[in-house]
Amino acid sequence: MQKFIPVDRLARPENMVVMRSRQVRDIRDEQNLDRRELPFDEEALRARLHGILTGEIQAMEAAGRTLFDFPDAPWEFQLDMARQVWDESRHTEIFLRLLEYMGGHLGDYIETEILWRCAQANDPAARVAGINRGLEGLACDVFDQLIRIAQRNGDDVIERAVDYVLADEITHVRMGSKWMRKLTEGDPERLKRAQEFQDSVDEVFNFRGGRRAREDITNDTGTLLTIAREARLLAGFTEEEIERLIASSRKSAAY
Amino acid sequence: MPDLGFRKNVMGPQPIAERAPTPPEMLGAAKQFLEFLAKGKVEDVGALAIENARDEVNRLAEAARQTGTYNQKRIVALARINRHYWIKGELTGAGTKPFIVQFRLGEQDGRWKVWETINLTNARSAWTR
Repeated sequence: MQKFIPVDRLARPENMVVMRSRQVRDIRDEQNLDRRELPFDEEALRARLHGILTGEIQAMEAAGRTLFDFPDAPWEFQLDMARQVWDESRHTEIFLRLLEYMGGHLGDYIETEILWRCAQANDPAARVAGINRGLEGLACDVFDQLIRIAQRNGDDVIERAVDYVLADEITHVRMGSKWMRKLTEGDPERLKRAQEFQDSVDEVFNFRGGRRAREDITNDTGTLLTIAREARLLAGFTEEEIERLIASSRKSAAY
Repeated sequence: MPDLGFRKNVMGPQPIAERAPTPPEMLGAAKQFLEFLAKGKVEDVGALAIENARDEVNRLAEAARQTGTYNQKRIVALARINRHYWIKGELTGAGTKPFIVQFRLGEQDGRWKVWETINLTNARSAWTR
């Protein structure tokens, strides 16, 4: 079996349409619509849930691939990745149900490849830095926002379901932090490369100013993604790391 | 192997929202596009495209015509990006290799038009080389 597979080798049912996220962004721009619609709208919520669902599928595949791509990694590392595959498969089911709850189905919207692209690192330390700290950290931000949207809509089905998922994501980030440090012990250069890989992932998901620190948002209409400080602290991010992410989000917003 | 149960019996929350309706005019345009492709009507296919996509659509129609003749068509996938739809269609015919196309439909001046196309006949995805 081939290691380090590109996104087009991922198996998908034929009713799925997978595209580059840049192309999806261009198509939204072409329609002259506001790219950041209010997330309280039913259709926007459905599209968001579909995006998270496909993200969970790719996260499940990514954790499985990490297990397969690095057979010489410590046994405990492999066990953590196997646990993560199981968690992500449950998340996939949860979001499948939430999507149906909102009247949507798998395949109703485009799937983008960006999460998978961010998982392309050939060192396990960089891989977990990018996936477990970068992408799962992003999941903490997205779920924190989704819980607030559900609370505002008075929807305790989504609120509780996402809260359960968020609890898992926090453990995934912790795993990432643990293994990024453990695998790079005594090798500061390797640690630096892993952190740089994570920074590049974080930069992609600053969404050109779409993700910000809560204190940087003057009028919170719910359209911007906020950096979930509390969840990130629970997940083992240091204050310094959160400040670095905030600085990077401010830089993105300036462009 | 742990017993995972019979998952189809597991109840999830009941839907609270209606399925968003698919515009029938859009579906009609999609079927017509596939029909013209299947019959090799290059000019008719081109007429369904917006100005900027006409050359690309003509090339696709020519490719379909050269691949073979088809008597069956089906819509395989239908995914949306806001108000535009990506449709994956398959044309089949006896003794002919299936022709798979992905095309985007959007409204222009009240009519559903083809904005872009991707020939997926020998590819796994839209960006497979």
